[in-house]
Amino acid sequence: MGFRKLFKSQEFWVAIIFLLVLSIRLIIAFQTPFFNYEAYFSLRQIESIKDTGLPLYNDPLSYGGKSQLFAPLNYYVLALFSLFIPDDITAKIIPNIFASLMVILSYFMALKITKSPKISLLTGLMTGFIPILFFDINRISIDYFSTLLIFSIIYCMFRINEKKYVDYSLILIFLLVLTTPLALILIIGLLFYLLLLKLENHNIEMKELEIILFFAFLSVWVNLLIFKNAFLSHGLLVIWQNMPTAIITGFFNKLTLLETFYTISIIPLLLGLYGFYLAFHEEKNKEVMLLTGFGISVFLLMWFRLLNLVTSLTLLSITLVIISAFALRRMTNFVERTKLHKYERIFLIIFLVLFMFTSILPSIYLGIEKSKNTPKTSDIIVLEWAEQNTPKTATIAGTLEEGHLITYYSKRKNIMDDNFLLIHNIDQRLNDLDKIYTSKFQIEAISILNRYNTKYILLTDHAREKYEIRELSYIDDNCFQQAFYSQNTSLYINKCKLEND
Amino acid sequence: MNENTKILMILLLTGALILSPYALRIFQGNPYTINSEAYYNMRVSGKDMLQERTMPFSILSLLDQNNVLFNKILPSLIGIMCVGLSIMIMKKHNISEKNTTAITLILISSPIFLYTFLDLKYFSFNIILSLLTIYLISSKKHILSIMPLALMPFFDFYSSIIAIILILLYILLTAKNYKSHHIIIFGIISFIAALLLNNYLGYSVSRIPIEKTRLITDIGAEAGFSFSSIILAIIGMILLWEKGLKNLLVYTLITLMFALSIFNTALKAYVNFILAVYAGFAFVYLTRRKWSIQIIKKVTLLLIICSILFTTILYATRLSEMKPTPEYVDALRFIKNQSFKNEAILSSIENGYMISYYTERGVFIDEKTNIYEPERIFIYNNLTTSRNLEKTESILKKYSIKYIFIDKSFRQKLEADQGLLFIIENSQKFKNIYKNNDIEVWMYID
Repeated sequence: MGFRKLFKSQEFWVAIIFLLVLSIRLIIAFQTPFFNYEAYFSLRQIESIKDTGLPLYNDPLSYGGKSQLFAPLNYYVLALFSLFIPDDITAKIIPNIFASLMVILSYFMALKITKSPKISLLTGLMTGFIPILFFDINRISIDYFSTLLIFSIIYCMFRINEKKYVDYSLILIFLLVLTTPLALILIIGLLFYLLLLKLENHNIEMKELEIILFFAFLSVWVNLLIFKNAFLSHGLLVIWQNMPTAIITGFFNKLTLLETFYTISIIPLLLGLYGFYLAFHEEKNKEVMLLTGFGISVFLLMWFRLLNLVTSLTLLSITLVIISAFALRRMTNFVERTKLHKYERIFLIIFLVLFMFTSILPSIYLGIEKSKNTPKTSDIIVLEWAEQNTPKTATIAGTLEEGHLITYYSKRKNIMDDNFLLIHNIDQRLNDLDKIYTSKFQIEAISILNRYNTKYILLTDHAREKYEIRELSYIDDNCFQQAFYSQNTSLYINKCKLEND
Repeated sequence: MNENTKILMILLLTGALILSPYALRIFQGNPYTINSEAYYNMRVSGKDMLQERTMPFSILSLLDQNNVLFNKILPSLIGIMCVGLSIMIMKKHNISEKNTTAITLILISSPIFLYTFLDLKYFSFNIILSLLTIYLISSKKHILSIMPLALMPFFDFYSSIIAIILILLYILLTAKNYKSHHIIIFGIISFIAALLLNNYLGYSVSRIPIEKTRLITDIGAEAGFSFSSIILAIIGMILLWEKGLKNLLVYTLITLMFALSIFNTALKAYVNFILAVYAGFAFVYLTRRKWSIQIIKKVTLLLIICSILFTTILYATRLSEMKPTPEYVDALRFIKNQSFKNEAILSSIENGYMISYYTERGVFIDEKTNIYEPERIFIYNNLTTSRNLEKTESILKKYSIKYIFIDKSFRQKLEADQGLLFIIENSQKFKNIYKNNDIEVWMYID
């Protein structure tokens, strides 16, 4: 194939966009050797799978020892790659490959909707630079793999009349159910889709109905099996993962309305809404209806705060970008029929410039900003020291965010991390943890440390920033000793015990 | 397999399923009745002397219920008879054998069915009387049907309201002549008679038993529906949908009753029979219809069966592990031997029936407190959250509370409330007089 032909091939440009997006993501990801705090949980799971073949369902370190409940497939996939590549490199590269693959998938989805390779290419580009997709570059986020599976299933549903896509959809459904409870959102979305078809007097294909039925039963059953104990313990509150009330509001309100527009990006948002309008009022399109059904489900769950904001916006923004292909086709059709078609290239350049300022630059900025939220080298040095020099049964108090970091590097128990399921009195535990850092009274702090059988306190810059403190107020030589420090990070040991405790 | 053998097998399976939690319990070395309303019914006849409460009149309270026959065998037999009657009613309505089998199997494997007939619950008698009434009406034995209908308010006053409404609905939907419409008048007359009798005996019928329960067993409800049967019932309702006002009325009522059943376990048990009918129809439809993808058919049906079985087995296991264990009973017998008759015990709401049964002492709070003395709930919350010793002592003295019975779940509540537990463990006014793996008993020292 000559270069001219290669350059004219749409697949070549899709691959280029994919590589461009992946490269930018990886450059950002490798700006730091560390990960966001939550990522260390995934690293522990990968290690456990490599060592024992199983994830850490009975975690001896989290909360001093607890059962963990999660769907395991994402960790198995990462562990599989880490057999050939070092863990931390795998954890940087693979989730970002999953995120970048959305470019290719959305290209094919747009192609199915519009039959226009050029518009599909633009859709792929827009998907690659949705700012919210740069939020979790260094978090080993499970959402990227789940999102890829969800939209792959939707693509298979687009082509359900071709036999091989029925098989693909069944396989993907199995994989999705074993990866994330987000499968339930897709089921709700598919039910909305059926409702929309009924309202618009479209025929419902038996194959679609059968797959949805199968998907619903499989998903409900697998989730009941996995989260059985959590359901029995917390009931429907499992949806909120037993989150402490103090952080549940923040969990759903991380972004303002303006930031929401900014993270979805204004162009896909406007085009997506226009595409949605067109699909329902002027040109009925089954594929867009399927995406709309899914979008409605995500939007409602986000609205009622049943789904966390970043995940919701990720799913919603990709949906809008793909629907926007439908609007773009309509607009290009209109332009082609008028004298404006002479200025097609100018329109494209204006579009790309606008896109650069509203999507590409915010994406890169957001990616870099969010990647900064990692532990410092000194934190790691102190925790590695703790691994060598503290008793194996010791518990180290750290902030909520540092919980996984403590268990990963020091191999010691923590008081708390962000896996709240199955923990009773979670509010009190968080309150106690806060008091360890903010209390003015030594007796109170020691009482809390004794309650959780903790002798060590980790004080990092992250804790200082979070609690707006410089030092722990109650530290004195009688009861506390600095066991080890590196730069601003200290590990204190408590030598006192209250009689009543 | 001929039809009679099939029915016999289903009835035997019903008995086995109902008794399975107790069988598992006995294997685990725990012969005690599972903590439920049954403890209250076994202890109280007519008037609750310990808690000083007048109970609504029930024929059952005139009998001695504190024996295995009444408490375990009779409920199981009622459960089996209910299934038998359901099958006979379905036969009368020309429901196909396959549908009948599916409906019955879904019914008997439902958690709320097991819960209802596990031990002595008054509303279970009304369920069988309702089914008998419906059977007699469908057999056109109208005069005979009056008898069970009229008896219902005298077995369980409140659940008879649900039963009468449902029978009325059944008559309106199925009766072709006005003969059967008159039957309901006898039900209402009997209800009024029961109301007057209760009034005469000094019981105020305005004390409506409202509970706040969870709906679905898979997500923690003590007695509820299973996810799979709900999904199947929804499919069944869609399949059996017919246009028309009558259908709309029925579906609205079912939805309303389903939603309201969160407040009443008896209502849940009745709604379960209706849901089982729709779920059974849906299951048979799914097995019969021509699927475009055969593999999905097989896997989906397998998933449905597995999820129903999973819920049943899990629920039976959960029931078998429920309180009281021998450790509980030992601690309660210790309190009984240690205490005077007028001394009351404080524990969690759900421990109330069990404690008063084994100790023969009054409890500060139980599951009927919200009906009889709702103000106590407020005091209870004050008591568990307060760190003020004076305030706590005044409440303990006022209600003669001498013992505090703390099990794992009550400890969790006390730890969360951060009040009473702090006082118990830090003041000199309480003494730990009993402790085993599960239980602590503290005595208040005046």
